[in-house]
Amino acid sequence: MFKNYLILAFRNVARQKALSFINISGLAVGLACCFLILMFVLHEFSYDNFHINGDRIYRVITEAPDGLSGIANTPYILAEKLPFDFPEFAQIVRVIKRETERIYTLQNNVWFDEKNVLVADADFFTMFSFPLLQGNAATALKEPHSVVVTSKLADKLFGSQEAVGKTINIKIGKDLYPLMITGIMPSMPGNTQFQTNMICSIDVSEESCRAIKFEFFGQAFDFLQEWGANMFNTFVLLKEGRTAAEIEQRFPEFTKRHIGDGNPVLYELQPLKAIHLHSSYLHGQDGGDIRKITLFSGIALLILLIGCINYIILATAHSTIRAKEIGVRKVIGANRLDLIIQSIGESVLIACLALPVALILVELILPVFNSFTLRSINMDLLHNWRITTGFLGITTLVGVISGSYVAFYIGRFNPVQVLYKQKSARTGKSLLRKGLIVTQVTVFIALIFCTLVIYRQLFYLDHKDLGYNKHNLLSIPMEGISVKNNYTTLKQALLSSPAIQQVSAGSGAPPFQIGMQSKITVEQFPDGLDMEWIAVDYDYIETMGITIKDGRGFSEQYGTDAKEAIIINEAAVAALKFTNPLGSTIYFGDQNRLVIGVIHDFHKGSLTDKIGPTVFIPSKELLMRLVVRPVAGKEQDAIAHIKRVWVQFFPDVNLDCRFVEDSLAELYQTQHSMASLMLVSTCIAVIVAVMGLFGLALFMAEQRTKEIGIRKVIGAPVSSLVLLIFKEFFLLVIFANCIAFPLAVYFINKWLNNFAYRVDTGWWMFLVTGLLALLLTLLVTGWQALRVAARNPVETLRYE
Amino acid sequence: MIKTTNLTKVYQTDEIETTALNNINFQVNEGEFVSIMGPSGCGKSTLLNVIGLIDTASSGEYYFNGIEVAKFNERQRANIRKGNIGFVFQSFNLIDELTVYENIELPLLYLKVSATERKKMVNEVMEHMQIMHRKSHFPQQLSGGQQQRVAVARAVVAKPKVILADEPTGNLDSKHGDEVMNILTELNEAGTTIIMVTHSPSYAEYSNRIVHLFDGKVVTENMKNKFHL
Repeated sequence: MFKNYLILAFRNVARQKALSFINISGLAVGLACCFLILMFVLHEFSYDNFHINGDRIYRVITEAPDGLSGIANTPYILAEKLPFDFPEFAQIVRVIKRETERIYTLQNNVWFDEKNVLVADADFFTMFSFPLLQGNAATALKEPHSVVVTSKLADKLFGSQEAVGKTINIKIGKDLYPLMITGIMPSMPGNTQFQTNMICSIDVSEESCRAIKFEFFGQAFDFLQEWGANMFNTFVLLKEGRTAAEIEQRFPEFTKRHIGDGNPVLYELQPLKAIHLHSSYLHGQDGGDIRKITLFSGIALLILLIGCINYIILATAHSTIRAKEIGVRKVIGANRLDLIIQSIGESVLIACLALPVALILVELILPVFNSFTLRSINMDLLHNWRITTGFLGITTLVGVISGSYVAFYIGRFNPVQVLYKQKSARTGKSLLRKGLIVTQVTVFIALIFCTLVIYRQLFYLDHKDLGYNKHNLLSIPMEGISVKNNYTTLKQALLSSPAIQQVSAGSGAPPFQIGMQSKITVEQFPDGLDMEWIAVDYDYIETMGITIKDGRGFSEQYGTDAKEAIIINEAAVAALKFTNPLGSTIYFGDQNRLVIGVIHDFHKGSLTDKIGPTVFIPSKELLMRLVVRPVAGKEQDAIAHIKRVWVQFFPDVNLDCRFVEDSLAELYQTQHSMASLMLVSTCIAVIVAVMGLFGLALFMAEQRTKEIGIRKVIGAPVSSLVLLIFKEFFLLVIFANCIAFPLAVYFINKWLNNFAYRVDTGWWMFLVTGLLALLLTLLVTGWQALRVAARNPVETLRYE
Repeated sequence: MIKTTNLTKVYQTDEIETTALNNINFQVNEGEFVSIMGPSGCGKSTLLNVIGLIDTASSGEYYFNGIEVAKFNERQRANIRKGNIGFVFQSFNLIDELTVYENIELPLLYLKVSATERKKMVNEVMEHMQIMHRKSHFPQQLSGGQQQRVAVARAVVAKPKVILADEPTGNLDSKHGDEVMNILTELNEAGTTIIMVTHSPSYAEYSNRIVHLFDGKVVTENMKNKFHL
């Protein structure tokens, strides 16, 4: 019997070529999307789940009081104090990832750039399950100035020579640290947050922190003792039987004793396995995002749903042609179960035919997908049983789900009706089919609408006036460089080029990553308000192109500005409830300052954040970023000049000179990649859905060949015949619009709410989307109707 | 073998009620060849469908081989149908996607007959119907007469007790019509009960008994030379 079903199914596929093409390609595209997402989801959930003690490893994080944000990093001193208060911890390991630019390795006078260098406590290799090829996991990082490198890096540095015992030099800031290689590890697996080629002992960070001489209003800042210096990831291994909850309960008491009451810090324990996907709300953390997985999965399922709906719609429509066969089978003894098995078997066969097409699509798309998601996922069907089972499971499930309704539908066929009365497609109750068409069109309308809104918001992000002149502006970091003595001469040297118009510096430059906050006291708020501050050179505001609303900017002509002046933004005027801000007194740092100017608000960072109250103070000591404005059209000359000057001043320090516009674009990289994803998904969804509509219109036009012939004979114009087919779809598309828009508005508003500054969903967007959907439907259905209407009526009637 | 008592079939569409069969009392004995005649819409095909268990009666009793089957559900009716009843239709109703061989084989598949046995039975019946040379052809490649031979072959392959033929010659010319009638007569002589709906008095003459229907009622029965009013 199975053979009979198989023969029939294959013959149907071969005979109904257009229908089979639509079904197989629709399902293949849907399956390919699902396969990609399945591999991505499995990869994302496998992050750091291979550590033997993984269930007992937690990271200490700092939560903001609102619980909505936090910091992944903690201070160095935390790990020093924790063991005394928490004997429940078996091990504590600090890890810090060093920036790329300032890390080099030196061997035989050859410099290497090395990205993502980790510095970690001695217990790193015993807490985490990273095997060593050479060296002892317990002692590899115990001795000062020791380092473990991957075999790949060892090969790069020493070729075929033995690497263990050799010394490499690593440069942090201006200082060179010699490190002895004490162990070799294999390359890190792709599914760990610790992506690195070398792990140094913790003393490297201790010494580099001590080397930074940083003064904050006259007082030396000790990075190793300050509770506010959040630089390290602190991992803890709980002893057997202890729970995170019991420890977290005692954190408030711990912070109160060590940090004090003033600014309560909320420490929490984050499970190791949750770090990769559940840390998007934490500053200083990059990695996956469970929201991205949900979005990807949702879109993939929607495309698969459209593919399945195509199959159901076309198979039920086609089943009316096959009604005779079903009737005959029933008459000669087939029961409902036989027909269900046959129908589901056929849809599983179609899904299986779609499987190789889907696999080829996945293989083709995977490199693009990997570069888009920054992952290195492989489709290793032979060795990864989870992926293979998943693929086969999804394919079978899709076949069964698609075939189930068709089975139910044909199971109800009455043999007397189908054999004697030649039941046609239009006489059957097609409410469900209409419902499916509406669902399909709803999905693609909603996707088109969301894509339109996302691209409009991105345009807004890229083109909004930020309150300063972001064009043609360069920003150069100077952290870790002693600029105090060199700044004035450096500035003069830079300005000596005719290609450079202005040079200034501040404690930061847009886009600001993390601002500095301090308490500001005014008459209206004697207890003070936490407010962001920016230390600037006198001409910073002018160089940035920030406009002054009231008063004046800083000027060296006023000798008192350095110690007594302060400039505030409009948001600060509102926050401090000033009615007449100029001349008001603000207590900041260690003294009273006079408000000499009010500047218009400007966006320091991303448009996701609201402009906060900010104050500016003049300082030549806290300058950490140079801002350089080249003469328009002479940017390359300016950059070449900056490079020459930089080498003269800081021959050992790498220059990182970037256009502010490029850094701003990086801020919205996630949004841009999401927009690309939406655009691609929408195109796929629309193509698959339109193919389905095409198939259905083809079927309906064929079904109505006789009717169209008769209408033509009695004088109906071709336009009315097109309308005849189109009107069947018109109402459905209108109805789909009514469902799609509220849904799309709901979801897109959730996304838009991430931005403090956003576009609104204008009426014209609804109109454009609605008209686009109608136009597509008209094109697809109208073409089919035209094709039938163009036939000679005598021929169509004779044919009938 | 077949007995109906007050068999009634009423069709209900919106506000219109149509009585297709009105208290039919009808009996067919094993080995009989009965023709049902009457004008279009008199209920001939409906009676055949109810007897063939592909349609249900609205009321009345129906005994098949002594078992009351009128109230049987779909699954039970399907079980009685397979192996016991063979159908021949005016429009042949062959499955276009299956070859001659596969069409004939179909009832045996539902009866779960073994592959070897199936092959033997199908070949036998094709031989008998003289369509062996057409076994790999699809229905569209055959003439009307050949298609009806295949349909008859499919109806008889499982050796059913009854064959129900609904105007089996309706779509055929006289030559092919005669051929089909000869085959049915042959089958009847071999012991198969045949009930045939026909418009043609000459083909009705092939049967032992003719039943006339009018407006859903049996009006006359003609058994050989005997009239019942």
